[in-house]
Amino acid sequence: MENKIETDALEQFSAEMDKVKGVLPSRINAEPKSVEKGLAKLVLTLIELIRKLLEKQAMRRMDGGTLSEEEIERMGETFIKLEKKMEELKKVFGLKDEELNIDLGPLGDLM
Amino acid sequence: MSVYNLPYRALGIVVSDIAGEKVRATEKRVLEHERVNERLMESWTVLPCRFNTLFKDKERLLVAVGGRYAELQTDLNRLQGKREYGLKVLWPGKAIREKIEENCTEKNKGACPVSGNSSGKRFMQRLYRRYRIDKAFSAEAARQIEYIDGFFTDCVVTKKLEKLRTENLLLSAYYLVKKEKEEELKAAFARLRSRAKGFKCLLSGPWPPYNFIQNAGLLG
Repeated sequence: MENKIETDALEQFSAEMDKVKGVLPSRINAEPKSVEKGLAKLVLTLIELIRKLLEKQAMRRMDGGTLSEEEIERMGETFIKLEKKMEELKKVFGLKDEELNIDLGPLGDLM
Repeated sequence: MSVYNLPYRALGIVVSDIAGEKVRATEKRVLEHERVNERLMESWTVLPCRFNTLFKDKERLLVAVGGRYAELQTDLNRLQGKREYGLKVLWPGKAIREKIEENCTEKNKGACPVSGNSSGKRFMQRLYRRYRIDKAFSAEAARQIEYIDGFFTDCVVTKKLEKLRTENLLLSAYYLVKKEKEEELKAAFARLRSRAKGFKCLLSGPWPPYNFIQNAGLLG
């Protein structure tokens, strides 16, 4: 069999690839408490996704100069409230920032 | 576990029989599955199936293959004589981002399109600064990827590029290469390594064409 890998930094690549989710699916935990937390995680992940999309859209509009100062101020206030509410909800369900993600398998992580 | 060929018209379907309904996915078994694909690749064009692609019996398998025979033949004809190589490139992502942040602070103090001290505006200013940094970081990554990919343009049939799977993993590339061009690819990789200072590069392969099968949905 041919030699398959050519590099002088194998350990560095190995460490970096550990950060990338594996292909083999993880087991689903169907314990009742986990189901509730799992559902909260799913819902909060989707809210976080929408929040980030809205922020990105706002930034693009700011870049393009299509937002008035008043609109920027209102959006900022709304995003502050959203951020605070998300922090509260994460505390309630014992979730960390890095847990709010969904593994889409071959497509990688949602966020 | 032994494997054997199940011929179907002009195709060979390499299978093994299992007891029970499923095989537990362990590292050892997945690697064995991979080794079979690689061994076959030495002599034939392979369309690899995912680990745990299972059928209740041979008859059902043959019906499934028969139903997609034309698509499978198309894939095999397209991939004949070609193998896949993987390229990964690490760059100092954190240091590059820090440099961009420094430039953003010094040169672009007036660049934010909103001024003011209210809480909403300050939040948006912070968000905008982060957005500008992310945008510059992404643009720098795209520029470097274009430079790196340029080394391989002449020796690949087609490619798939993934940018920034992590902050430090600049590029994960998958190249489909004709067998007669493989030495050229390896020479291009050697040139890249000698010129891309500050980056770490990894070339792997040859592999079966996992990322270039268009009709992968047939068998799971």
